[in-house]
Amino acid sequence: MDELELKDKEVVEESVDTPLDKNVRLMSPTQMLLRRFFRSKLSIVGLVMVISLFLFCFAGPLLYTAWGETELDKSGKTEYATSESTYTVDGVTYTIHQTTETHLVDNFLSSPDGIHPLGTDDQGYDVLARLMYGGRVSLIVSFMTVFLLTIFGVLMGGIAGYFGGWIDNVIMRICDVLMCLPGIPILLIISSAMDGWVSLGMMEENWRIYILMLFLTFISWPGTARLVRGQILSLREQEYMVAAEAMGYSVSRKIFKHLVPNVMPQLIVQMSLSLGSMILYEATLSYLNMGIKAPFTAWGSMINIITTNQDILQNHLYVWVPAGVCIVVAVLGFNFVGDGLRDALDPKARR
Amino acid sequence: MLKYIAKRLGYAVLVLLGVSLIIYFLTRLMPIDFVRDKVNSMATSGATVSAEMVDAMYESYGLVEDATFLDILKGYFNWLGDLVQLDLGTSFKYGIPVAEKIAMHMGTSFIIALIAAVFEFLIAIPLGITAATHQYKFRDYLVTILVMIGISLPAFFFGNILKSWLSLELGWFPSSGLVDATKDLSGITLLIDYARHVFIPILTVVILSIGARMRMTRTNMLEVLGSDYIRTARAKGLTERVVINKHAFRNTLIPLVTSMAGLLPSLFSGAIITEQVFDLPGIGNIALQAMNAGDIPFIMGYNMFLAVLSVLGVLLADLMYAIVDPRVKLE
Amino acid sequence: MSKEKKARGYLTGREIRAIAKANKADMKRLEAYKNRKADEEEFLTEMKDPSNILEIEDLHTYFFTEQGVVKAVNGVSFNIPKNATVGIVGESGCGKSVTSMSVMRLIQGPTGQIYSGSIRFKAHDVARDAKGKPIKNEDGTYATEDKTYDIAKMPIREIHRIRGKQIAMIFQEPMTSLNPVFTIGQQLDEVTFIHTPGATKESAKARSIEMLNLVGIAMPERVYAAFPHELSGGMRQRVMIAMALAADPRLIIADEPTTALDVTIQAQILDLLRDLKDKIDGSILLITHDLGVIAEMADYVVVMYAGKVIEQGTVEEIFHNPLHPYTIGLQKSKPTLKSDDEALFNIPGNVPNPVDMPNYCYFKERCDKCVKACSGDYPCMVQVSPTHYVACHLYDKEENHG
Repeated sequence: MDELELKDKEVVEESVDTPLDKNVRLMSPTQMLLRRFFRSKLSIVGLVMVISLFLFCFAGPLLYTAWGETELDKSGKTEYATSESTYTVDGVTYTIHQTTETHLVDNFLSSPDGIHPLGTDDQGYDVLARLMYGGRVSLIVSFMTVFLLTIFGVLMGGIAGYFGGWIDNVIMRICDVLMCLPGIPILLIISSAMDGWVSLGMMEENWRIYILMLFLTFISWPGTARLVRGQILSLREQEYMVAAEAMGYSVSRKIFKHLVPNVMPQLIVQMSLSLGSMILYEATLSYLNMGIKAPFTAWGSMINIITTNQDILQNHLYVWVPAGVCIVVAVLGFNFVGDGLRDALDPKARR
Repeated sequence: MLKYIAKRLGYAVLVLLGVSLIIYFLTRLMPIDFVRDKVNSMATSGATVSAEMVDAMYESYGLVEDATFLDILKGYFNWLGDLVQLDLGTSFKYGIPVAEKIAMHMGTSFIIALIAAVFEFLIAIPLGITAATHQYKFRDYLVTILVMIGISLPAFFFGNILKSWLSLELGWFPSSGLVDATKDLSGITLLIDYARHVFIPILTVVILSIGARMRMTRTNMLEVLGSDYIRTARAKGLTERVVINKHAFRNTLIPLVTSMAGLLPSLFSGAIITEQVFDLPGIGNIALQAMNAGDIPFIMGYNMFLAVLSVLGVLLADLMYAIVDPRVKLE
Repeated sequence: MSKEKKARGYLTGREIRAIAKANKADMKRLEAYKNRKADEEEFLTEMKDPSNILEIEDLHTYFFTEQGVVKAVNGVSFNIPKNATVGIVGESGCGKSVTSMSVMRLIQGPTGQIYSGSIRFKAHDVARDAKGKPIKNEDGTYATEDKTYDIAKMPIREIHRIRGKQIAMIFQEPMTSLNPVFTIGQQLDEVTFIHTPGATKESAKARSIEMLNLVGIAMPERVYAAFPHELSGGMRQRVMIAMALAADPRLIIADEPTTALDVTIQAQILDLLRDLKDKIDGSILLITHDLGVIAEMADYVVVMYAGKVIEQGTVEEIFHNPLHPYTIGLQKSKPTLKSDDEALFNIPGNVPNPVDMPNYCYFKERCDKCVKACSGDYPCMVQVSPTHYVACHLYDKEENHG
């Protein structure tokens, strides 16, 4: 009894300076973010897809060493074709049986078997190995593109929003113009220009996809720039920024304490979603034969073959379908993750 | 209203000037020798390119040896002058005026895009609304997954899968082209043949585009359902069905109709990849072939055409917005 | 107990998962209960006191959030007598709006749910046959009947019997509460169409114009054809009131009807409400944080604090003889001309966050009159006069102790 009484007293004394709401324990912001992100099963699925693709492409070749990216299967097979012809000489009919022996150097279009889990393509390259190495190209190119366009967009948007006035005006008008440029057709123009440079020996063929994607960053940054600029402008209107101004906070404090935390969530979401679309762009360009050239490859390039070879399209699905599945898995994964991040980071999201 | 449109049109012209500048200079990146080779090879392969045409083209594009900046600028204004008179030049590859070639193939693209758009809206809107009204339930997840898959599928891959499966494997549909050249068809049979040829391409376009539209519907609907006036409608004693089908739906329609107007110009621009996969004689496929051949007049003409369409799309969407939403006044 | 240690921390991952699991189960059960099909007998009931029109008894409305269950309304009981105006007063976040939303069943699921309690309401409606068709008398009028429903037990699909026709609501935000794409006329007519059997286009319009006139709109025809965005905030609130009145409801809930308006407009709307109070045959439930409004309008006052009723009584009792320290504090914090030489009184602290409430008096931390009993259980309602109740240990009767 005594103890209880004492305890009660302690509580009374303590609670004078601890209002009730301090006793309430809430979720930490990190917990909230994780919880919201993992609330949807789709985000988990997306994360698993992305991680396993990365493992497949970057760790896969370390485990699957049977075939390299540029290693042709020279095991070739010998084919025999028989034909017979008959002709009559002086009333006697002769039949000639003829067997042609063709020795193929390369073991191409071999169906999936123990030696080649996904078969070989029309050249005799191992599809599984090329899927791994090709994925590296696709993923790296897309990541670089998104990275560059985000930096460029943040920079331009930041400059426009921060300085305002005519600078803002000029940058925004440039954005308007760039947003009216048709994506793929413009890249096709540059690609045909590069055809010229390649034919004149001014350029390496394999630079093409990198230059194209670099150019893609130059026409895709307006989205990010507008986002950052909008955030800065709306931040300027906020009372707490006016207060920060009045208190004489330094520019760097304003940027890092207020602007960055405000714009970061949306930037992260946009980055993960544009990763998906950049992979699609890269794959489409590669499919249109503007990608990296043999002996190297990328996912899109592995599908390019079906534009000219109807037989592979119809009968040798193992050559091109796996690459397409990889593209879909990658894009889907990034989209799921991006969607989950949007749910987690959007303060307006309710449940 | 008229003043607003005039102002917007004026601005659109400025944007288009910027676009034309970029397109012109990008095209100019092609080495002149390369262009010459291309033209020559096209001439030898039977295309009707006369020497005068080539010379005229060189002049109008400023493709002169050791061109100075002034030459390039002169070339640009030459081209721009022609452009204003709607003269896009003559295609090397096809040997006829670019504008004529575009007009010739626009129809095919338009029909496919129009039918696809109709189906897209008819399917996407009800699905999006169902997803929103059953938020976080099974239906919502199902629709979300379908949306995501639709958005993530590359057109060239999905198109080829359908082609390989439905036409090559099962033989239900022709795999390419718009009409069966081996048969002599007319009237209703011709129409059926057309329909059989465009079925898979339309299916491809619908499945790929439906996701984004469905998602847009869902987001809008959710936003509307959370608004105060929906609460008012419920408080009035309306049944949930009327609340959704009348009060919420009318408001969800605003951005949808607006986006429909934005879609209008894209009906004419052609789907490059889909048309390539199914070898359809649409504007996108024609343009792709021209670009692969380095057909400069066609490339520039087509890109300008696309830019004009996209500027028009934005303008149309804004005008539509003012028509559908009573709150919006243009000024 | 390591209460102090836990006090400043965040929830642990295990606790979060436990909360989510418990919430999911509760939400699923309550959502299913809300969406069930049920015969009328299941939610028919009788009033405890026939002179009341609404009896709320031990109402609990909870919000199941990731941080824990927010007991926004935690055991609220009060009655609304016929033709009376009852005011609910309290700080923001005390649960007064949630109480009114619970009566209208407008709580947004699945997070928000009526957890338990009953809301008995005496409805007076057109009698309907088994198929739901109105029964006509021989003289062509419609037969009417009285029925008492327990709104808290009604399936959501039956709730249209109550909303609009029996209980109408005026919301806080007139700027956003009207559908922007329909004209005022369309939105007003709709009320008549759904609640008056045999309404025609002409009769609905006539009724709408009549209502617009009643709420003091000068050019009803013009407002009738206007879109909401063409009207000012005050005008829109008048339209909202007209819409609420259009179906002759027995109870009008006005949820802070003047908060979002300019001060001069506020006065006009209050005058209008006070006039209407005499003109209509019904009760008003007025929700506000403004004691002045309550003093002018209400017959009975309910004071709420952190999801509970802490004091209730007639307007005279609450204003002339406030008992609960919170009510006293509220009154002291009203600015008056006399007190311009001293600082404005304020109640220290904030309304506690309603997750994880203690089981002693919620006002304890902010109270300057604490007694030893305050550390004990939450105080019971003590009756101090036939109409005056207070929940405070200061007024505990001896026999209630131990």
